[in-house]
Amino acid sequence: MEDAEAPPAPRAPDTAALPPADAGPDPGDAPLLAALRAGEPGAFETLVRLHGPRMRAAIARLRGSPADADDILQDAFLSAFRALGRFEGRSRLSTWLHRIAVNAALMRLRGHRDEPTGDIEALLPHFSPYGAFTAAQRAWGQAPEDALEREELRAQVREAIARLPENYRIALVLRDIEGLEQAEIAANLGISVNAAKIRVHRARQALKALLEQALPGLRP
Amino acid sequence: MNCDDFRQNLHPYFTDTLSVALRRDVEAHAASGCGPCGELWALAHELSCRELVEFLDDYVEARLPAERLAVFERHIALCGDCRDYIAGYRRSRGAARAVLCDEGLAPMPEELVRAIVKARKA
Repeated sequence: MEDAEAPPAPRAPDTAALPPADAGPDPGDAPLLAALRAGEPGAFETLVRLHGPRMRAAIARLRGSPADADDILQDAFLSAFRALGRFEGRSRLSTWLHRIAVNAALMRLRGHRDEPTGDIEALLPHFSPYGAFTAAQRAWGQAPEDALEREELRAQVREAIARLPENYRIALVLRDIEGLEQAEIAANLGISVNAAKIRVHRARQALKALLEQALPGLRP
Repeated sequence: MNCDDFRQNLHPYFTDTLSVALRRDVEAHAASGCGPCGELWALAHELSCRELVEFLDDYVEARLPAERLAVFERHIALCGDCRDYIAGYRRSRGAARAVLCDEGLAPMPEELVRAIVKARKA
Protein backbone atom coordinates (compact mmCIF):
# COMPACT_ATOMS: atom_id res chain seq x y z
CA MET A 1 0.00 0.00 0.00
CA GLU A 2 3.02 2.24 -0.28
CA ASP A 3 2.78 3.95 -3.62
CA ALA A 4 -0.66 5.15 -4.53
CA GLU A 5 0.79 7.99 -6.58
CA ALA A 6 2.14 6.10 -9.57
CA PRO A 7 0.16 2.97 -10.35
CA PRO A 8 1.12 1.32 -13.63
CA ALA A 9 -1.45 0.24 -16.13
CA PRO A 10 -3.01 -3.06 -15.00
CA ARG A 11 -1.62 -6.04 -16.85
CA ALA A 12 -3.88 -8.40 -18.73
CA PRO A 13 -4.34 -11.86 -17.20
CA ASP A 14 -1.73 -14.31 -18.34
CA THR A 15 -3.77 -16.65 -20.50
CA ALA A 16 -1.15 -16.60 -23.22
CA ALA A 17 1.22 -18.53 -20.97
CA LEU A 18 -1.05 -21.53 -20.86
CA PRO A 19 -0.58 -24.41 -23.26
CA PRO A 20 -2.97 -24.32 -26.20
CA ALA A 21 -6.22 -26.15 -25.65
CA ASP A 22 -6.98 -29.13 -27.84
CA ALA A 23 -8.52 -27.78 -31.00
CA GLY A 24 -10.65 -30.88 -31.53
CA PRO A 25 -10.29 -33.63 -34.10
CA ASP A 26 -7.57 -33.29 -36.70
CA PRO A 27 -8.58 -34.58 -40.16
CA GLY A 28 -4.90 -35.35 -40.68
CA ASP A 29 -5.17 -38.17 -38.12
CA ALA A 30 -7.67 -40.11 -40.21
CA PRO A 31 -5.31 -41.96 -42.59
CA LEU A 32 -3.06 -43.22 -39.78
CA LEU A 33 -6.05 -44.21 -37.65
CA ALA A 34 -7.56 -46.10 -40.56
CA ALA A 35 -4.27 -47.86 -41.22
CA LEU A 36 -3.90 -48.80 -37.56
CA ARG A 37 -7.43 -50.15 -37.37
CA ALA A 38 -6.92 -52.11 -40.59
CA GLY A 39 -3.74 -53.61 -39.15
CA GLU A 40 -1.63 -52.33 -42.01
CA PRO A 41 2.06 -53.24 -41.69
CA GLY A 42 4.13 -50.29 -40.56
CA ALA A 43 1.21 -48.27 -39.21
CA PHE A 44 2.10 -48.82 -35.57
CA GLU A 45 5.73 -47.98 -36.26
CA THR A 46 4.65 -44.76 -37.94
CA LEU A 47 2.58 -43.91 -34.87
CA VAL A 48 5.59 -44.51 -32.63
CA ARG A 49 7.92 -42.41 -34.76
CA LEU A 50 5.41 -39.59 -35.15
CA HIS A 51 4.16 -39.24 -31.59
CA GLY A 52 6.91 -40.88 -29.57
CA PRO A 53 9.15 -37.83 -29.09
CA ARG A 54 6.42 -35.68 -27.52
CA MET A 55 5.17 -38.51 -25.31
CA ARG A 56 8.71 -39.39 -24.25
CA ALA A 57 9.40 -35.77 -23.32
CA ALA A 58 6.22 -35.56 -21.24
CA ILE A 59 7.11 -38.74 -19.38
CA ALA A 60 10.64 -37.52 -18.68
CA ARG A 61 9.29 -34.22 -17.34
CA LEU A 62 6.94 -35.99 -14.97
CA ARG A 63 9.56 -38.47 -13.86
CA GLY A 64 11.98 -35.63 -13.24
CA SER A 65 14.67 -37.44 -15.24
CA PRO A 66 14.95 -39.56 -18.39
CA ALA A 67 15.60 -42.67 -16.26
CA ASP A 68 13.10 -45.44 -17.07
CA ALA A 69 11.16 -43.05 -19.33
CA ASP A 70 11.61 -45.47 -22.21
CA ASP A 71 10.00 -48.36 -20.31
CA ILE A 72 7.06 -46.13 -19.46
CA LEU A 73 6.80 -44.98 -23.07
CA GLN A 74 6.61 -48.60 -24.17
CA ASP A 75 3.81 -49.22 -21.64
CA ALA A 76 2.01 -46.12 -22.93
CA PHE A 77 2.15 -47.21 -26.56
CA LEU A 78 0.93 -50.70 -25.72
CA SER A 79 -1.96 -49.19 -23.70
CA ALA A 80 -2.77 -46.91 -26.61
CA PHE A 81 -2.75 -49.80 -29.06
CA ARG A 82 -5.09 -51.85 -26.86
CA ALA A 83 -7.42 -48.86 -26.43
CA LEU A 84 -7.43 -47.83 -30.07
CA GLY A 85 -10.88 -49.29 -30.63
CA ARG A 86 -12.28 -47.00 -27.97
CA PHE A 87 -10.72 -43.83 -29.42
CA GLU A 88 -13.70 -41.96 -30.82
CA GLY A 89 -11.77 -39.23 -32.56
CA ARG A 90 -13.33 -36.38 -30.60
CA SER A 91 -9.88 -35.01 -29.82
CA ARG A 92 -6.63 -34.99 -31.69
CA LEU A 93 -4.74 -38.25 -31.73
CA SER A 94 -1.73 -36.40 -30.30
CA THR A 95 -3.80 -35.15 -27.34
CA TRP A 96 -5.18 -38.61 -26.65
CA LEU A 97 -1.71 -40.15 -26.75
CA HIS A 98 -0.31 -37.39 -24.57
CA ARG A 99 -2.92 -38.15 -21.88
CA ILE A 100 -2.06 -41.84 -22.07
CA ALA A 101 1.64 -41.04 -21.64
CA VAL A 102 0.91 -38.78 -18.66
CA ASN A 103 -1.22 -41.47 -17.08
CA ALA A 104 1.45 -44.12 -17.64
CA ALA A 105 4.07 -41.90 -15.99
CA LEU A 106 1.81 -41.19 -13.02
CA MET A 107 0.94 -44.88 -12.65
CA ARG A 108 4.63 -45.63 -12.28
CA LEU A 109 5.00 -42.81 -9.75
CA ARG A 110 2.15 -44.20 -7.66
CA GLY A 111 4.37 -47.16 -6.98
CA HIS A 112 6.70 -44.80 -5.12
CA ARG A 113 4.14 -42.99 -3.00
CA ASP A 114 5.87 -43.99 0.21
CA GLU A 115 8.78 -41.70 -0.60
CA PRO A 116 8.84 -38.57 1.56
CA THR A 117 7.54 -35.52 -0.27
CA GLY A 118 8.69 -32.68 1.97
CA ASP A 119 7.17 -29.42 3.02
CA ILE A 120 7.27 -26.09 1.20
CA GLU A 121 5.92 -23.85 3.94
CA ALA A 122 9.24 -22.03 4.25
CA LEU A 123 9.10 -21.09 0.57
CA LEU A 124 5.69 -19.44 0.79
CA PRO A 125 5.28 -15.72 1.54
CA HIS A 126 4.52 -14.59 5.08
CA PHE A 127 2.10 -11.89 6.11
CA SER A 128 1.56 -9.54 9.03
CA PRO A 129 -1.58 -9.88 11.17
CA TYR A 130 -3.00 -7.14 8.91
CA GLY A 131 -2.41 -9.15 5.74
CA ALA A 132 0.61 -7.30 4.29
CA PHE A 133 3.85 -8.98 3.19
CA THR A 134 6.26 -9.12 6.14
CA ALA A 135 9.24 -8.94 3.76
CA ALA A 136 9.44 -6.31 1.04
CA GLN A 137 9.02 -7.77 -2.44
CA ARG A 138 11.40 -6.71 -5.17
CA ALA A 139 11.03 -6.77 -8.91
CA TRP A 140 13.18 -9.15 -10.94
CA GLY A 141 15.90 -7.16 -12.60
CA GLN A 142 16.28 -9.16 -15.79
CA ALA A 143 13.60 -11.03 -17.65
CA PRO A 144 14.49 -14.71 -17.25
CA GLU A 145 13.11 -15.35 -20.71
CA ASP A 146 16.15 -13.44 -22.00
CA ALA A 147 18.61 -14.73 -19.44
CA LEU A 148 17.56 -18.31 -20.13
CA GLU A 149 19.46 -18.28 -23.38
CA ARG A 150 22.43 -19.12 -21.17
CA GLU A 151 22.73 -22.86 -20.48
CA GLU A 152 24.10 -22.21 -17.00
CA LEU A 153 20.88 -20.43 -16.04
CA ARG A 154 18.75 -23.10 -17.68
CA ALA A 155 20.52 -25.69 -15.56
CA GLN A 156 19.76 -23.64 -12.45
CA VAL A 157 16.09 -23.46 -13.37
CA ARG A 158 16.02 -27.24 -13.88
CA GLU A 159 17.70 -27.66 -10.51
CA ALA A 160 15.14 -25.38 -8.82
CA ILE A 161 12.27 -27.39 -10.33
CA ALA A 162 13.93 -30.62 -9.20
CA ARG A 163 14.16 -29.26 -5.64
CA LEU A 164 10.40 -28.99 -5.37
CA PRO A 165 8.89 -31.81 -3.32
CA GLU A 166 7.73 -34.44 -5.78
CA ASN A 167 3.99 -34.03 -5.22
CA TYR A 168 4.29 -30.29 -5.89
CA ARG A 169 6.65 -30.70 -8.84
CA ILE A 170 4.25 -33.10 -10.50
CA ALA A 171 1.27 -30.82 -9.96
CA LEU A 172 3.17 -27.89 -11.46
CA VAL A 173 4.31 -29.88 -14.48
CA LEU A 174 0.82 -31.27 -15.08
CA ARG A 175 -0.74 -27.81 -15.10
CA ASP A 176 1.87 -25.44 -16.48
CA ILE A 177 3.76 -27.71 -18.86
CA GLU A 178 1.41 -30.53 -19.85
CA GLY A 179 -1.65 -28.26 -19.82
CA LEU A 180 -4.03 -30.48 -17.86
CA GLU A 181 -7.13 -28.88 -16.37
CA GLN A 182 -7.54 -28.84 -12.59
CA ALA A 183 -10.17 -31.60 -12.71
CA GLU A 184 -7.83 -33.82 -14.76
CA ILE A 185 -4.99 -33.21 -12.32
CA ALA A 186 -7.29 -34.04 -9.42
CA ALA A 187 -8.42 -37.26 -11.08
CA ASN A 188 -4.88 -38.30 -11.96
CA LEU A 189 -3.54 -37.61 -8.47
CA GLY A 190 -6.55 -38.94 -6.58
CA ILE A 191 -7.22 -35.66 -4.78
CA SER A 192 -10.04 -33.11 -4.80
CA VAL A 193 -10.18 -30.39 -7.45
CA ASN A 194 -9.62 -27.75 -4.79
CA ALA A 195 -6.61 -29.62 -3.42
CA ALA A 196 -5.19 -29.83 -6.94
CA LYS A 197 -5.69 -26.09 -7.43
CA ILE A 198 -3.96 -25.28 -4.15
CA ARG A 199 -1.10 -27.67 -4.88
CA VAL A 200 -0.39 -26.10 -8.27
CA HIS A 201 -0.51 -22.59 -6.83
CA ARG A 202 1.78 -23.45 -3.92
CA ALA A 203 4.20 -25.18 -6.27
CA ARG A 204 4.42 -22.03 -8.39
CA GLN A 205 5.02 -19.89 -5.30
CA ALA A 206 7.71 -22.26 -4.06
CA LEU A 207 9.38 -22.32 -7.47
CA LYS A 208 9.41 -18.52 -7.51
CA ALA A 209 11.17 -18.50 -4.14
CA LEU A 210 13.66 -21.17 -5.22
CA LEU A 211 14.47 -19.30 -8.43
CA GLU A 212 15.03 -16.09 -6.51
CA GLN A 213 17.47 -17.97 -4.26
CA ALA A 214 19.21 -19.68 -7.16
CA LEU A 215 19.34 -16.77 -9.56
CA PRO A 216 20.28 -13.68 -7.58
CA GLY A 217 21.34 -12.10 -10.86
CA LEU A 218 17.70 -11.72 -11.71
CA ARG A 219 17.22 -9.45 -8.72
CA PRO A 220 18.08 -5.75 -8.93
CA MET B 1 -0.97 13.67 11.59
CA ASN B 2 -1.22 15.35 8.19
CA CYS B 3 -2.06 13.72 4.84
CA ASP B 4 1.59 13.20 3.81
CA ASP B 5 2.39 11.49 7.09
CA PHE B 6 -0.73 9.38 6.73
CA ARG B 7 0.32 8.14 3.29
CA GLN B 8 3.87 7.56 4.45
CA ASN B 9 2.72 5.48 7.39
CA LEU B 10 0.03 3.51 5.62
CA HIS B 11 2.31 0.69 4.43
CA PRO B 12 4.05 0.29 7.83
CA TYR B 13 0.58 0.26 9.36
CA PHE B 14 -0.29 -2.89 7.44
CA THR B 15 3.10 -4.52 7.93
CA ASP B 16 2.58 -3.98 11.66
CA THR B 17 5.82 -2.05 12.11
CA LEU B 18 4.41 1.15 13.64
CA SER B 19 4.38 2.07 17.29
CA VAL B 20 1.04 1.90 19.06
CA ALA B 21 0.89 5.70 19.16
CA LEU B 22 1.51 6.04 15.42
CA ARG B 23 -1.07 3.36 14.66
CA ARG B 24 -3.61 5.40 16.60
CA ASP B 25 -2.61 8.55 14.69
CA VAL B 26 -3.08 6.79 11.34
CA GLU B 27 -6.50 5.52 12.38
CA ALA B 28 -7.48 8.92 13.72
CA HIS B 29 -6.51 10.65 10.47
CA ALA B 30 -8.45 8.07 8.44
CA ALA B 31 -11.52 8.79 10.55
CA SER B 32 -11.02 12.57 10.50
CA GLY B 33 -13.16 13.21 7.44
CA CYS B 34 -10.26 13.86 5.06
CA GLY B 35 -11.81 12.69 1.77
CA PRO B 36 -8.80 11.44 -0.25
CA CYS B 37 -7.20 9.77 2.76
CA GLY B 38 -10.53 8.19 3.71
CA GLU B 39 -10.81 6.75 0.20
CA LEU B 40 -7.27 5.44 0.34
CA TRP B 41 -7.98 3.90 3.74
CA ALA B 42 -11.07 2.16 2.37
CA LEU B 43 -9.16 0.91 -0.67
CA ALA B 44 -6.36 -0.40 1.51
CA HIS B 45 -8.89 -2.42 3.50
CA GLU B 46 -10.77 -3.74 0.50
CA LEU B 47 -8.35 -6.61 -0.13
CA SER B 48 -5.19 -7.61 1.71
CA CYS B 49 -1.97 -8.83 0.09
CA ARG B 50 -2.58 -12.21 1.74
CA GLU B 51 -6.02 -12.49 0.14
CA LEU B 52 -4.64 -11.45 -3.23
CA VAL B 53 -1.85 -14.01 -3.08
CA GLU B 54 -4.28 -16.72 -1.98
CA PHE B 55 -6.22 -16.30 -5.22
CA LEU B 56 -3.35 -15.22 -7.45
CA ASP B 57 -3.65 -18.36 -9.57
CA ASP B 58 -7.22 -17.38 -10.44
CA TYR B 59 -6.01 -13.90 -11.35
CA VAL B 60 -3.18 -14.95 -13.67
CA GLU B 61 -5.33 -17.66 -15.28
CA ALA B 62 -8.20 -15.21 -15.85
CA ARG B 63 -10.70 -17.12 -13.72
CA LEU B 64 -11.84 -14.20 -11.56
CA PRO B 65 -15.34 -12.85 -12.06
CA ALA B 66 -15.38 -9.24 -13.28
CA GLU B 67 -16.32 -7.72 -9.92
CA ARG B 68 -13.56 -9.56 -8.08
CA LEU B 69 -11.09 -8.75 -10.85
CA ALA B 70 -11.80 -5.05 -10.37
CA VAL B 71 -11.01 -5.38 -6.65
CA PHE B 72 -7.72 -7.09 -7.52
CA GLU B 73 -6.80 -4.40 -10.03
CA ARG B 74 -7.48 -1.66 -7.50
CA HIS B 75 -5.24 -3.35 -4.96
CA ILE B 76 -2.49 -3.95 -7.52
CA ALA B 77 -2.56 -0.31 -8.61
CA LEU B 78 -1.98 0.64 -4.98
CA CYS B 79 0.51 -2.01 -3.87
CA GLY B 80 4.06 -2.28 -5.18
CA ASP B 81 4.75 -5.45 -3.19
CA CYS B 82 1.91 -7.24 -4.91
CA ARG B 83 2.96 -5.96 -8.34
CA ASP B 84 6.46 -7.31 -7.78
CA TYR B 85 5.17 -10.58 -6.38
CA ILE B 86 2.84 -11.10 -9.34
CA ALA B 87 5.62 -10.28 -11.81
CA GLY B 88 7.90 -12.85 -10.19
CA TYR B 89 5.11 -15.43 -10.17
CA ARG B 90 4.49 -14.94 -13.88
CA ARG B 91 8.17 -14.98 -14.74
CA SER B 92 8.95 -18.11 -12.76
CA ARG B 93 6.12 -19.88 -14.62
CA GLY B 94 7.58 -18.59 -17.84
CA ALA B 95 11.06 -19.79 -16.88
CA ALA B 96 9.78 -23.30 -16.08
CA ARG B 97 7.94 -23.48 -19.37
CA ALA B 98 10.87 -22.11 -21.34
CA VAL B 99 13.25 -24.68 -19.90
CA LEU B 100 11.05 -27.78 -19.76
CA CYS B 101 9.12 -27.32 -22.99
CA ASP B 102 12.29 -27.01 -25.05
CA GLU B 103 13.72 -30.30 -23.90
CA GLY B 104 13.41 -33.88 -24.95
CA LEU B 105 12.06 -33.45 -28.46
CA ALA B 106 14.87 -35.41 -30.00
CA PRO B 107 13.92 -38.02 -32.59
CA MET B 108 13.11 -41.47 -31.23
CA PRO B 109 16.21 -43.69 -30.94
CA GLU B 110 16.00 -46.47 -33.48
CA GLU B 111 16.48 -49.20 -30.88
CA LEU B 112 13.59 -47.80 -28.85
CA VAL B 113 11.27 -47.76 -31.88
CA ARG B 114 12.22 -51.37 -32.62
CA ALA B 115 11.70 -52.40 -28.98
CA ILE B 116 8.21 -50.88 -28.86
CA VAL B 117 7.16 -52.39 -32.17
CA LYS B 118 8.53 -55.78 -31.07
CA ALA B 119 6.70 -55.56 -27.72
CA ARG B 120 3.43 -54.89 -29.54
CA LYS B 121 3.88 -57.98 -31.68
CA ALA B 122 4.75 -60.18 -28.67
